[in-house]
Amino acid sequence: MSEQMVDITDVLRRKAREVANDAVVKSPQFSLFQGTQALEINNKRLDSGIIELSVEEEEFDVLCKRSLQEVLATSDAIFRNVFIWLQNSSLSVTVFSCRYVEELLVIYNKDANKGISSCRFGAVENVSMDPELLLVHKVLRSVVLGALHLVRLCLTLGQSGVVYEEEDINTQTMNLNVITMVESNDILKELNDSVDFLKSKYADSKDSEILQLILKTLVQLINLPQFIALKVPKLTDCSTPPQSPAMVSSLAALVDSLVTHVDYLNSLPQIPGCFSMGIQKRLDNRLPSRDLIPLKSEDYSSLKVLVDDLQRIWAISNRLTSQDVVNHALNFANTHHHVISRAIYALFLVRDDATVFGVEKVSDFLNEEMLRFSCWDSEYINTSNEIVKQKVAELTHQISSVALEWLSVMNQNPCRQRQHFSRLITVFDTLEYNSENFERNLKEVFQVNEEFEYNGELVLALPITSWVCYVKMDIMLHVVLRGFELELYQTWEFHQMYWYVNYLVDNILLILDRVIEYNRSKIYKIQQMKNQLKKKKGDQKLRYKEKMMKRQAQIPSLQLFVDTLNKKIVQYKIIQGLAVLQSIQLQKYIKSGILKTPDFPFVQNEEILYKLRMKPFASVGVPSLPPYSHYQFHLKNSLKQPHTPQDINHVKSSILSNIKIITDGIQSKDVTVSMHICSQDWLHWFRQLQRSCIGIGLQLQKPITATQRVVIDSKGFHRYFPVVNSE
Amino acid sequence: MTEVTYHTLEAGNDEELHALKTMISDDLSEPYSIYVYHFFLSQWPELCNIAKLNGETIGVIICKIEPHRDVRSRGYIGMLAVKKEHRGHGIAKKLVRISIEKMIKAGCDEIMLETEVVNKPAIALYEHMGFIRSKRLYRYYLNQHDAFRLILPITSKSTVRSVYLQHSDQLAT
Ligand SMILES: CC(C)(COP(=O)(O)OP(=O)(O)OC[C@H]1O[C@@H](n2cnc3c(N)ncnc32)[C@H](O)[C@@H]1OP(=O)(O)O)[C@@H](O)C(=O)NCCC(=O)NCCS
Repeated sequence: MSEQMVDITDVLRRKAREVANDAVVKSPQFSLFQGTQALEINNKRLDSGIIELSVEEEEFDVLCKRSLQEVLATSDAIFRNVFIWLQNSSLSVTVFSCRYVEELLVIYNKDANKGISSCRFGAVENVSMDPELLLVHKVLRSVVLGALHLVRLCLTLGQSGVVYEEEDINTQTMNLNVITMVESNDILKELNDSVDFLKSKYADSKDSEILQLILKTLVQLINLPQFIALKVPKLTDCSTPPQSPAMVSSLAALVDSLVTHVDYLNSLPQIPGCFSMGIQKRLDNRLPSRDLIPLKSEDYSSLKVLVDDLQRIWAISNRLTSQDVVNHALNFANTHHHVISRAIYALFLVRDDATVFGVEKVSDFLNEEMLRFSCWDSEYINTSNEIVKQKVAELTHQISSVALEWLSVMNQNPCRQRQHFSRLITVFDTLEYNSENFERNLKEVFQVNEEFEYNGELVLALPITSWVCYVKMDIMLHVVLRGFELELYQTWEFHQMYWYVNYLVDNILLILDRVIEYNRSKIYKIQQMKNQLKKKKGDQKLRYKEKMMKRQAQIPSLQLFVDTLNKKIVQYKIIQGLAVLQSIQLQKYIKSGILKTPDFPFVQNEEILYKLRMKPFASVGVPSLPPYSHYQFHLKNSLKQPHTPQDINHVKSSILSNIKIITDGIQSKDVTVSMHICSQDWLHWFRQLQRSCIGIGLQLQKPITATQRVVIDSKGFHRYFPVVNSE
Repeated sequence: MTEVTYHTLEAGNDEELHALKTMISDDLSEPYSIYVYHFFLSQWPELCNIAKLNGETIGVIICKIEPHRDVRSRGYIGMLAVKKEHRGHGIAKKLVRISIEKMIKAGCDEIMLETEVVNKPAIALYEHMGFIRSKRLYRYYLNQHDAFRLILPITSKSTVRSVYLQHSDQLAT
């Protein structure tokens, strides 16, 4: 027995005798919960050590020559596997399951410091003499290198904190270093050399052409990090928008060609044993055994999605205002994207240096947002009091970091978006509290009087707080409405949730009305200066006139912001109208007895379900969550007063005319609507709302019988307003 | 016809353990190791209940109770399965009822579980008991399906965000 070995047979026997039957033996440092993540030997579903391999898999030769067609089939499979992996599979069942990839990685990992020279499939002699050996050791090798570099890039994106590891991108690499010590330039050179080789040795071949397409596409994808670094300055009225970056347009053209060959590629036979579960058996595998994913589950359409996404992201280069950034972000959140685009978007939007698109500070972006909403030409901005200026800057700094959080919701997956929004409700609520205290203090301590007449009373304008409060309520509305999208509500909850939507929109409309009045009061004050001017004389008159003209220059901006806010009101009224229409329909079902809260065996009372559902909103100061009794009262009343067909028509027609106002605005690139970027997506959004309105309207005309049941039909309708049918 | 009987898993009954493992492994998409069973069974043996017919194990439910962020007691339904040929006879419903009653008795403020959004029978089963969907979890399962987190509120603690429960605890002490 060697000196390092100790015989423990006796100890083991003695200890084993002490163990009681059926007792779990574990170290005190170890919790049983940790054990739940362990794999189990000899369990077929968990132990990858007992995977059985075919002879072809066992004897697969990575060194021998291959035909051009075999190399094409393998390259295509490796490349497609990158995208299968990105649909949330693990590397072990996708890219790494290719024997060439495994072999290269294993050899590289033995001597990673040597960089690209240790990236080989093994030692072969006289490669350069034989084109079919070169196809493997030059061309296929470069595809493997390109694909792995792309994997590495995606891993970096996955680990950058902007998307969720495991949930969005599976980042487990079986403890293999994914060629991190190989320079991207070296890989680009290999890829380009392979293209040249194919061009010269296999000039007139379709297979060669497709293989070149794959190589060139890899080249463009490897260049993606450059996209993230592009600076996107704001457009001015007269400047022309920059062209799409070259890498995006080349990529788009390459992908368009590549997809035309998918049927042909699918018809090519794979080399037997080339893709195998063997790596799960041979290397460090912490996951349960898993089957490989069929290659046909990816047909390069996700690559197409990625390219379309990049073009959509780039569309922000047409932005004129902060409102464009907000709407572009909201549209990004509302549309489906490739996970890599979601990561890229986040990094592209807010850069490492905390700038938006590499050109403006987040705080400048936020300031513009607040100015456009309520703060333009306010006392805080006009004051010459340095302390006040400093204090306002401190507050906006605080708000900036929260605004940053808001922006970082937009690239999340839809489930996470709602969770993040839900968390932000409390963050904004606290911010609102702080901001209100601050603004009240400004009046009391510094006599900065930001007041205006509202509903016949002189009130504090609270411009900053108004913005914070508005954004908070808008977030609350998102959380409620996205519950419909994510199918969180059961039909018996629908009525209550639309009632709450209505309540929230009422509150949003109140604040928007208040802010509009405040902005109008500023315009009015400036207009009144003329009267004052008449009373002034001499030098005083001249100075006053100069001041007046300066102030008058503010009027167009103020008017623009009032118009913008009015367009916001139109949009909220669409949501509110649909919530009302939906409620009318649901009331009919409730009244006829086919929709009711079931009698649940373990639920103390319905109120507890209401409170659980409304938990995200319960802590909010304003608007406070109405108690359950209010909802019940409302429901009882509405059932007593059914709506007449005229009422219903009125609701419907105002929804439709409001939708028209917005869609006209989108089409005419109206700056107060600010949806000229990705306008097709926005048009689609509003057309879906229109469909919901028409769909619910039609449903309202159908008679209901007590034996029917309700079913939800979401297909073709807006995700926030599915049609509740009876059948 | 003989009656289906319900009881907790007998400690040390390897045959029953084996039967329930097979059933779960056949019916649930997620693979569970023996350590997962040990985790549940050795800490909450009374919350592992099985249904038997003529000596054969035909249904199982496995639960646990743990504090959630130190502010509320949360019951959790970890696994539930009924053999295919015995489905549709109310066996799962009975197993879930037994477990919920035990968890309520043990002082749970809420009972929670996750299930795949495509698992209509399970969702219907729980929702008929008063569970509501609190969250949708993106690609929660190994098979990439989203999941719903379902919650049955038992006490009002379940309806308050845990940060506020923490604060009120601090205020009280
Ligand atoms: C889910 C499962 C446990 C149900 O077992 P079961 O014994 O057939 O269920 P029950 O007969 O007790 O039915 C109880 C309720 O579930 C619902 N339900 C059961 N089967 C259903 C089906 N096929 N479709 C719709 N609802 C169904 C019904 O609401 C039913 O109540 P009702 O009969 O009063 O309408 C069983 O289908 C199963 O083992 N599935 C595979 C494992 C699994 O999915 N487990 C749950 C993971 S969380």
